[in-house]
Amino acid sequence: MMAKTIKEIEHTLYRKNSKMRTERFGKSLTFLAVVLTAAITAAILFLVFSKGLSTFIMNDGSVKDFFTGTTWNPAEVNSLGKPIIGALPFIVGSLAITGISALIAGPLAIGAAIFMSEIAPNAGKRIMQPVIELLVGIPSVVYGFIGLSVVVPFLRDLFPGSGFGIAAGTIVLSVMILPTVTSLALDAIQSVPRSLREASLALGSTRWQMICKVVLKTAKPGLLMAIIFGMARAFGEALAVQMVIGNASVIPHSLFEPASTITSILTMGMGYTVMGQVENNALWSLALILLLMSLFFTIIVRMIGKGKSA
Amino acid sequence: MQSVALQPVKMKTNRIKVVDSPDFPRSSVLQTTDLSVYYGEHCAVNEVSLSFPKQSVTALIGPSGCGKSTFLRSINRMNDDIDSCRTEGKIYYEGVDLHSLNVNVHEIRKQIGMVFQRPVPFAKSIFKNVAAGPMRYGVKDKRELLGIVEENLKKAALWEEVKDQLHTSALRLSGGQQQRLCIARALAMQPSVLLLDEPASALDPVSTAKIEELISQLKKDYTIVIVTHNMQQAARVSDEVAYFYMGRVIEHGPTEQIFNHPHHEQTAHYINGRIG
Repeated sequence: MMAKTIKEIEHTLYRKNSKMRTERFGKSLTFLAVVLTAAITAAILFLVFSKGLSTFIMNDGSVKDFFTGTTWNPAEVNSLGKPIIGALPFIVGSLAITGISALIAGPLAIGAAIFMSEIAPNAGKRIMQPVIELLVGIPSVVYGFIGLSVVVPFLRDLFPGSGFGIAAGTIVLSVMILPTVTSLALDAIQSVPRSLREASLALGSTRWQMICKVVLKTAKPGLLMAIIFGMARAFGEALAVQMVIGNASVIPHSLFEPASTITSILTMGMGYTVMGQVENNALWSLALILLLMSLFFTIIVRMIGKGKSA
Repeated sequence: MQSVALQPVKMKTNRIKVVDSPDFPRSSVLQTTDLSVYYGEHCAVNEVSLSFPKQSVTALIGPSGCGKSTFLRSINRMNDDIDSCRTEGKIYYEGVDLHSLNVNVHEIRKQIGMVFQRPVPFAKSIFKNVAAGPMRYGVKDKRELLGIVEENLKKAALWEEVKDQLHTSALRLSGGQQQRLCIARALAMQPSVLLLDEPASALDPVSTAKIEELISQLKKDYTIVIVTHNMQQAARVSDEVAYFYMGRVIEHGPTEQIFNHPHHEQTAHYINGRIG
């Protein structure tokens, strides 16, 4: 074979082919997707922030009133000429309902996950997993409807009051977030390596000691993440909650009195306000709180994730 | 059993009763008779009869998949937890059949400790890793626990390196240190037999040397069975060698003899690197 001249080698190395075009096309396509996603997110953030803050900037609303006031009537002004925008009852409602449902759903979900992965892995995989996937897929309006026709009458019979309230909302929400938290907790528990379990058993641990001391301990960050994901979902849920909570804009004195959450006020109010008015801007402020809270949950999950890898 | 005499620690242990059995040699602590292990239909260990003398190191060698790890794991019944796994034949520990119904499997694993190929420290402090076992079996006194931790970390030749950071996470240690920690953790259970499943294969040469030195030290108090792929390691640390091939023991004898004058041609081939 004849040796190639430098010219020939240069020619082969410099020539362009169709592969390069595909390469460039793929690159720009994915880049476009990223830009689009980022742009939409940025636009939403901008809209929510500008609208949400305009209650306090344009309409002269007081931030202090917003977080501490207990009366919500944005159409009117108080003696100082400021709109009455006390959102405390909704904030309290949202936090209470989120916290209590996490307290109920968390242990149940972890228990179910332990059962599915450690106690009866076969039944877990064959029966429980499909059931949980099914439960995740049920629309929230169905949960709300069931809550309205089963949970509310049940509570009405057992406790004084109409049955609407934090308790009803909590029950519906716990059932709703239970499958999500369970499947995330299951992932966390299953990701504990077999070698660690064996190491524990090789020390003479019983199965239960192994689960408590090694599996749960190792899966702790993942389990926390599962619960926080559940809380984020509970905090943002509107429809199901709105159907059973009673929608009274007061701070309830018991779990069985009508109350409201940030989301339920938003869905209730948005049809009756006009863009640009104080009433509408006040709702945007609530939306801003929701956004910040979900940001907060995301940050916590991220921090746990980082701690896990470190 | 010498280790028990060395440690005046009150641990709630119900030692398995030593029974005199005529066919059980007094000098060995552990013996298998026609032990077979099946994974479903596949026979991983085929009628292996071996006995392990007290305070000696026996190396199990052989190509990958020859059943030596499975054999090792069946000694402290770790294979119980694998659904498809079935065991036939007898394992005698101090003359007691480990498969008899009234033997407590957790007790077996306390007395027959195991260290795995990859270091598997728990996501806890160094102290808690070593103290975990004794704590689970009822040792509560802080000072007593500290004594146990110090003693066993010293035995595992790790104490000097970690004594100032007992309460930091065990995950911060290097691979070699983690493996010695795992050995200390196993020793804290006061076993009389230690099963080592390729304990140095995931480690660098320096850590490997430390582990090997440690094994020679531990031989004084414990009966050690080690699975290894490393011929030099087997030659360095063991007193006896058993060569496994396709689930069977082809040859078993003193290390010196196996390495210098193997009776079977196949053993010679393997040792010289022609099989596996």
